[in-house]
Amino acid sequence: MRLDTISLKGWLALALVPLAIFAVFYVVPVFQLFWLSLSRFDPSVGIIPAVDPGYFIEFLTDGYYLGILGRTVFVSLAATLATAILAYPLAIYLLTSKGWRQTSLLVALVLPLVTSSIVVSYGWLILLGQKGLVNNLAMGLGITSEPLQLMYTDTGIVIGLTHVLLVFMSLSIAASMQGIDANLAKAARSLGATPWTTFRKITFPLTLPGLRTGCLLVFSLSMSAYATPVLIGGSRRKVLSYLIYQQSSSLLNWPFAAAMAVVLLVSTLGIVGLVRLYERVRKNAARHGAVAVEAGR
Amino acid sequence: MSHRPDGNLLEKAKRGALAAYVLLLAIFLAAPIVAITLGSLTASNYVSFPPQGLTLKWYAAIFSQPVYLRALLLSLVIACLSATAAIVIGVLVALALHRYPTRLNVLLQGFVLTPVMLPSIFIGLAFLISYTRMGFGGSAFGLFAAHVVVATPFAVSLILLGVRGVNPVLEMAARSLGASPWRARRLITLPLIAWSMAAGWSFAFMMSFGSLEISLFLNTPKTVTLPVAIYTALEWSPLDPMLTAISSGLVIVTLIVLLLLVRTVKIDQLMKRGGQ
Amino acid sequence: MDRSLEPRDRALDANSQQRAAAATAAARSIAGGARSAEPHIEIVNMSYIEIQDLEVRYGNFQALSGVSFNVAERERICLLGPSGCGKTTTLQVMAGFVAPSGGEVRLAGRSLTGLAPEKRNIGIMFQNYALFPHMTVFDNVAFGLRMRGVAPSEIKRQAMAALERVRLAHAAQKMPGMMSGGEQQRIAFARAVVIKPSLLLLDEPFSNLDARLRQEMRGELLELLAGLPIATVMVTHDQEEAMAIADRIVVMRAGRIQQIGTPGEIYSSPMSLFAARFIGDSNTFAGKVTKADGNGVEVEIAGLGHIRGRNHGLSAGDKAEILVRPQHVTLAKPGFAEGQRNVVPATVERVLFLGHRTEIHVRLGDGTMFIVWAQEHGGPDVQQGAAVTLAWNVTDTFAFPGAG
Repeated sequence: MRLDTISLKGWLALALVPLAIFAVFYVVPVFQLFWLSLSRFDPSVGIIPAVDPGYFIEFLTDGYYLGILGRTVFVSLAATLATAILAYPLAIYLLTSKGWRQTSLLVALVLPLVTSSIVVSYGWLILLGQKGLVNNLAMGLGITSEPLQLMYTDTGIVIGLTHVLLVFMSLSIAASMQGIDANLAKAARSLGATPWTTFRKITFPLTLPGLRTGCLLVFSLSMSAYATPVLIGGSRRKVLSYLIYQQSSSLLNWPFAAAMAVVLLVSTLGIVGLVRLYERVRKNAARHGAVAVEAGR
Repeated sequence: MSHRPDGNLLEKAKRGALAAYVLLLAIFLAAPIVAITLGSLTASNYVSFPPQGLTLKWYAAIFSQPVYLRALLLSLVIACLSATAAIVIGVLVALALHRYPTRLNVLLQGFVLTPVMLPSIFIGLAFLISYTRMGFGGSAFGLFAAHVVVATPFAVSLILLGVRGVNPVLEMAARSLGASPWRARRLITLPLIAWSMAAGWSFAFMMSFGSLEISLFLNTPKTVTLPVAIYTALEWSPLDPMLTAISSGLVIVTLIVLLLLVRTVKIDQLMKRGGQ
Repeated sequence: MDRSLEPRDRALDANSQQRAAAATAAARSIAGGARSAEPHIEIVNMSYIEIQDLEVRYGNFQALSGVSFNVAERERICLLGPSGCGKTTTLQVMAGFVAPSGGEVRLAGRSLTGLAPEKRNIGIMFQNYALFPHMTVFDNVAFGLRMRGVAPSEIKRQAMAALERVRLAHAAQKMPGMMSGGEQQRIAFARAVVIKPSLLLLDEPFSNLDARLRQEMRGELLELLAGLPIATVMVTHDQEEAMAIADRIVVMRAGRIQQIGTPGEIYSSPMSLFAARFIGDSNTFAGKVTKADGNGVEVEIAGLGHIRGRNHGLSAGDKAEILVRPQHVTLAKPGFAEGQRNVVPATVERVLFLGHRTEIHVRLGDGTMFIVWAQEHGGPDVQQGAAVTLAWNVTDTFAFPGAG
């Protein structure tokens, strides 16, 4: 039995208030931001309403800005790669463990996410500094003779991003692993495959959708991150978020900041969109291929 | 499953290796937070981890700094209010999304679930610009509204898990027995999703309490949240151990709420629906 | 007897309907223990529930079309049909969860159109029982009484009495999740009837159970329904269930009623191929009508010769489907005499001993597979590959219009 006597009325009773609230406090601001990115700014006059893509052009033609965009993309890709590699065993453990072990791992994964980014970054500040624990350990163990420079480097930023985003990759992969029929691996083993081959040829390919989702998620979140790259990278290693904040708060050039924010959004969504498009093209090709095979019989 | 003796050893070795790996990663995940909390106990006058000596004097010092206490209070109040608003909206949205298969839900999802997909800088700037124009840019209300927008998607996701687990026929049974639609929802559905509402509240609280970027943009001398206070202080005196004490205060509040979340969420339900 | 194939035809005229229901009602009142020794005269409301011309449309999809039937005051009706036939939709309309696009439902003369579900005082037993998992057994049963504002002491009395009647008073403080399937059914029943509903609706009560459990639960349900003087409408796709429980069956297909009748009537006098196939087991094969009149038809089956049977709206030259039930067919030695029987030669493919009966699969001359059921002790003495003659009565042969 389905409960939908007067569907529309029931739906409206539920959805009207949330829609109204979000329209005013979210949708309108977002549109205003897009609109503002096309305005101009003069320090003595303030915001000059216009429909001028000038700031976009300025951003996309200046090597300095493009360099920062490039660095942002680079660290995001690196963090994505790092989390992808590290997350697989974690995902397996998440699914196979039970009770307090499983819960503890989940808590450990979620903790960097829910703890304020400022505290986490501060922690990295303490650990990665010249006199920090990481360097002390490294020198104590004889790995290096001189203190490594980890703060204010791209490497440090990648470490920080990986740290906070590992949970997303792990859960995405775990979710797709869970959807795999347990009997598939048993079937492969019964037909003579070793555990490693089973993983390589059966399990891993079936987790690719989850891996893709995780990569897109980690990439987008890395591109958008603020506290971690700003506090660890500082002004020596600027990322796009840093620039946006600088333009808006110290330089008060809201239109330029808005334009950069739009660039950030578009580049993030653009890459995500391209990958999704690729996925859909491949799916369609596979379907056509299957149909052709059927027709050819 | 093999029953050869060396097969068992191999299995054990593999499981041991996996456990060791997970343990290492868990240490990695906890490291910066542990560094902050333990570092706050140092007796030295500059930040050091491992701590040199153990003392609680930096925690005591907080009480002489009303700035931080005010920031803590503001953060707590805003987080509580935002989380509560988020779950009220969350229940409405989750029920609409799950019980009414209409294409209008795309609109609802677009409005309520997308804030989390946008860069926090993007959305923070948008709030700043818009709320200033609307007249409440620098006020606590603006902060509250922004936090609600950002925390609601999390509340909705968790409450959706709860709603999906409730058989809609139960409400119909209640109605056939004489309950009005509102009573049926209140007596039957709400108690059954209460666990997901608690989980949603906890998550929304933590997101609001720890939010930095949004609060930074809407920051004024009158509306300083705790993360923002720590951020500004870091720019001036990063080596002051009192800052670590304040930070670990933040961690403690977060941990308490996190443990509440863990208690209420049924982990197996979460794992089962994780892919949706 | 000829039967027309109009979907809206009722199998019984009003008189027969009245007789059937009165007999049932009288039997029940006697079973319930009539106080006096005098013959008990029941005045039974034949149209206690009237379903008139129900139409339900979802966009372009017609879920119900011209659905009409009556339910007498203490009658048990079963809506029977495959999934998608509209039986559940009919139930939903009766319960008030779906508003019909046309037609109406009347209860004791009052129209229910526009009346909210919570005001209809209809007891419903849902598939999977829909017991409130977060409330005790007692609170589940008491829920309807609470909604009606009954005084707490009275609630306790009535709910406990209901639980005692289903022998679960001891479980009042337990949670439904801890009860077995049979106990859950009894709780759901108690909950639905304690509010003294005017009508009881059952939605596919056994569809999720395996065969053995189904039988047990069916028996229990029959026990529960025995003492209940309420009109009952049940929905199922299982014909055996329908035949066991219903006084009358309403066979539905694709949103329309195919036939209404007692189980016996539908089984022995089905009015359409669909009804004949849906109820009971059957062998069917296609052919062309050579002769047709009021007394019967003669159909030519390719490779098998002529088969005679009962005419259900066929004329000479039509395509026909012949249907005969496995238990009506006997095996005989070749060359058996004809008379009022159809006779067809066949070869035995396999013999399956199923315990209570033996199933013999035979192949006819044109390649059709035929199933014969034999219940002689030990089974008929046939081997695989043997040539046999199938024989069955002309009166057991149904001929319907075939698919175009």
